[in-house]
Amino acid sequence: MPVTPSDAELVEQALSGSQAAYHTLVSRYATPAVNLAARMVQDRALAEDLAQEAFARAFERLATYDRQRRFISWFFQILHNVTIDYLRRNRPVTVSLDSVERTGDPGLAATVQDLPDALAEQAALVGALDVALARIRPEYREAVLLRYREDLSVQEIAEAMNLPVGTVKTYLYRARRELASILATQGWTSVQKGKAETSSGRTP
Amino acid sequence: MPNDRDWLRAELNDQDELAEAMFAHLAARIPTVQPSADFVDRTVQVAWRTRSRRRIVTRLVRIAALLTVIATFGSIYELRGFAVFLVVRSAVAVSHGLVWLVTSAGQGAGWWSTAERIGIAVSDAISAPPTAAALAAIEIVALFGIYAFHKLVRDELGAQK
Repeated sequence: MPVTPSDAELVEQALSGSQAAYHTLVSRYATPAVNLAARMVQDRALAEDLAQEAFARAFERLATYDRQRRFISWFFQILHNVTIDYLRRNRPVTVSLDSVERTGDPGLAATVQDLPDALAEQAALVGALDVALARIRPEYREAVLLRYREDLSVQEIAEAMNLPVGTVKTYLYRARRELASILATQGWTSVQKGKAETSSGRTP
Repeated sequence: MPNDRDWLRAELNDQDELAEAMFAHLAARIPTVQPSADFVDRTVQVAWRTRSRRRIVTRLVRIAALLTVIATFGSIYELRGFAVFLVVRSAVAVSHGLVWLVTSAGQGAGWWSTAERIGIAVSDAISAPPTAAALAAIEIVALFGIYAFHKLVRDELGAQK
């Protein structure tokens, strides 16, 4: 049975000139990187460019990677800097409440219609949360994604975002409160009455 | 399986730990934005190309630095005679300049001393009481003289008209 090499081993091999090792490393973290960047800039093509730049920078600085640290934590620090540089040069991307309420998530709605009521409601809530995530401050969004999607510890998030641990905890708390508040204004705290309402992503 | 609305209820009721656990459960199901199929290949190629380019640039910079050092030492070796001449001429010019400066300063001090003595003598003479009285008398006489001359000229001009 083949043994999966660790990130540190792949880094060593890449430093020795193994393109295949770096290919494996990139393929391991391509999805989290593009997902995070896409959530930050709200544009998949741009997110791929930013993730690519982050991987290129990581490759240039591969010799400085501390083997005691998780590669993903170190890499997300680089991706954070690349993304923040971009957002500083350009206006932060947020989605207006009107557009969220008007459009919802058509792809999700089509799926939801085929599900039983309980599952449909849960899927609709996830969809609404997905859309609401685009409306909160970028730094809150990043903290939420790193904590709950990429499963980084608060300490690792603090290192990746160059922030004190206390600030990260505050960001996570405020992000949850803001998301709850957005969903509450869309009627998600009241009892849903029908599948048609859930498929639109909100209740009246 | 927990009800997803429990998160909102927990959040709104300030049940922080429960809210976080419920939110983590919900957030884990948010769809992932997937990269395009060729993303990994493109990224690795870009990274490799960038490294190759950087290596070439680094080598060129090293060669340029080495050539600069060699050229500098070579120039110093070739121009050592001129450098010695330049140093000697500079030292001579500086020493001459210093002599001229000291001489000029001495002359300047001498002239200043003479002017000071003349000034003191004049002021002493003017400030002495008999001299001052004599000067005042001369001034008054001169003023009368000018006035008389002015009157004569005016009368003369009036007679001509």
